[in-house]
Amino acid sequence: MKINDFFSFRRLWLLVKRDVLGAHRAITLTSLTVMGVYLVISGLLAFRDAHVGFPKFAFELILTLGGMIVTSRSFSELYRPESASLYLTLPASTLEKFVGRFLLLTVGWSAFALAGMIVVSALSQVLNLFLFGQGTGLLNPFDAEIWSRIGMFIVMDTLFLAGALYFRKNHLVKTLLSVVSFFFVLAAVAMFGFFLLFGRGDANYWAGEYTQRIRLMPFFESLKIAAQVFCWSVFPAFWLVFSFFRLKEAQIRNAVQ
Amino acid sequence: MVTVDSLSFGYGKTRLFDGLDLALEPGNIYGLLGMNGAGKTTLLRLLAGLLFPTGGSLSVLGNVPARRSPEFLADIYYVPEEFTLPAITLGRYEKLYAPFYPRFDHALFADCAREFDLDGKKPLNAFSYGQKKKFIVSFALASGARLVLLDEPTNGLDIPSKSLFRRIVARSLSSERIFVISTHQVRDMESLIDPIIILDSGLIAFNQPLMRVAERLSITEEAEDPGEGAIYAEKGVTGFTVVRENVDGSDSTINLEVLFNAVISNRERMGRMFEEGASREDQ
Repeated sequence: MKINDFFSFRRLWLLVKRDVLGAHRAITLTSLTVMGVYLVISGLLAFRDAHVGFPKFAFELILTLGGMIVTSRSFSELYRPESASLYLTLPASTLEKFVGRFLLLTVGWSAFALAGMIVVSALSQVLNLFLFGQGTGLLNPFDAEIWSRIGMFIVMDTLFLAGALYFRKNHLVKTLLSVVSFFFVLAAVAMFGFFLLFGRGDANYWAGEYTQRIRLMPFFESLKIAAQVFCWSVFPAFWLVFSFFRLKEAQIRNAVQ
Repeated sequence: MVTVDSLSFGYGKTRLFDGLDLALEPGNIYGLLGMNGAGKTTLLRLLAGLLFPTGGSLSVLGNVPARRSPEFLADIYYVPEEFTLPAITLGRYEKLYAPFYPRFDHALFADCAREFDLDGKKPLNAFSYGQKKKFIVSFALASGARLVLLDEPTNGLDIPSKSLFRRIVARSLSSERIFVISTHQVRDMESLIDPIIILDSGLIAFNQPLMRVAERLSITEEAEDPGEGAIYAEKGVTGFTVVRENVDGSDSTINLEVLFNAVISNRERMGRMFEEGASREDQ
């Protein structure tokens, strides 16, 4: 029987099922802990004074911070020889393994966080109304800002996925440090470039209508569009391709290299 | 069929293999022996596609292992010496992992689990080291993979389990399967592994079926030191275990530990002897 070696939705489904059901205890425990913390904080807020924006704040925090942590740990099995061999020899293509994890960590995580927060916010609202006569409100899934945050999270998560595959240990901290270092360098380069292009050494250079003119320059508009295109397409695409090849070339040399 | 041709591999600047050749035929349980650091685990990892060779070629059941294609991965099963198992039960593991293997034999897996007395209700990560070994070996054998690579499979097994292991492995072999067992516990594997492959100094120092070994060599217990006349002699409590060329066609039991030591200490002489024997047979 000839097997499709490139991509099979059946194997993708098996991989996703394996990842979710294989970790169901950890998922359940973590979810219950987060739920408990949410109920306590929302109870305290409701007791003092109803804080209607809390569910949205909590959702964004869980989506982003939780997502960063989960993604950063997502390939840690690859860096332990005792678990890496069983994962790498699992009969599925690298593309399926990569897509399966990526979908789980982005779409799966967002959907899980959203659905979970809707349920928890509803539960806390009922409890708080019953106990204190006021609640912290419900999470509205039709709020456009929530979907914008999910989009931003998915883009940002590609970087943490790359960090999870690139660094051997302390994936989250090392990724964050790399990002901070990168932005320091970028800011320095941008400032230098800006100085070369527009610097006059004049103290009044930034004052008055001249600044206004510069702000309206088409160059800045183009730069803004370019930055948006970069952030929404080139940036995630680059990190996805980088991560894919990192996984494809993973070897077990007592620690994966 | 596994063909390794002029394989090169190293860790950093240290060369481990340089021009290693090997051919494995179906229907055999190969015993892979070698000293610590000889490269047994590395060779198994190269065969499983977990390491990529730096030179030469490697063909496993018609596939290039480094590509790690699903078809190839469904046809091999590598049991590492150290491994972790998830916090799920045996039954759930079977449900989640068996569908990846198109030829998975559920009845064989159930038989092995029963014979190894594996607890179906306990999470796998709570199993003892030996129980984990029994579980993963059962899964490997039931996977239907044509190439099964076992790295120190008897480490951690109790005495009754070792004989059970030998029985189950022997029973699971078919004319189209190849089992490669890397081990230091040669006494655990006697009566199971045949042919014997010995890795030394980055090359295959020895690759012979036991029948040919018995034809060419005689291993005897002697009271006196045989001196220069023997290929190898090992002092024991009651005398010497002596390896000689089998010139009179006598039968002797092959002691794998002694054979290993004889090959390692007289690599060239043993190589010549078996080559000459093979060319005589060809004529």
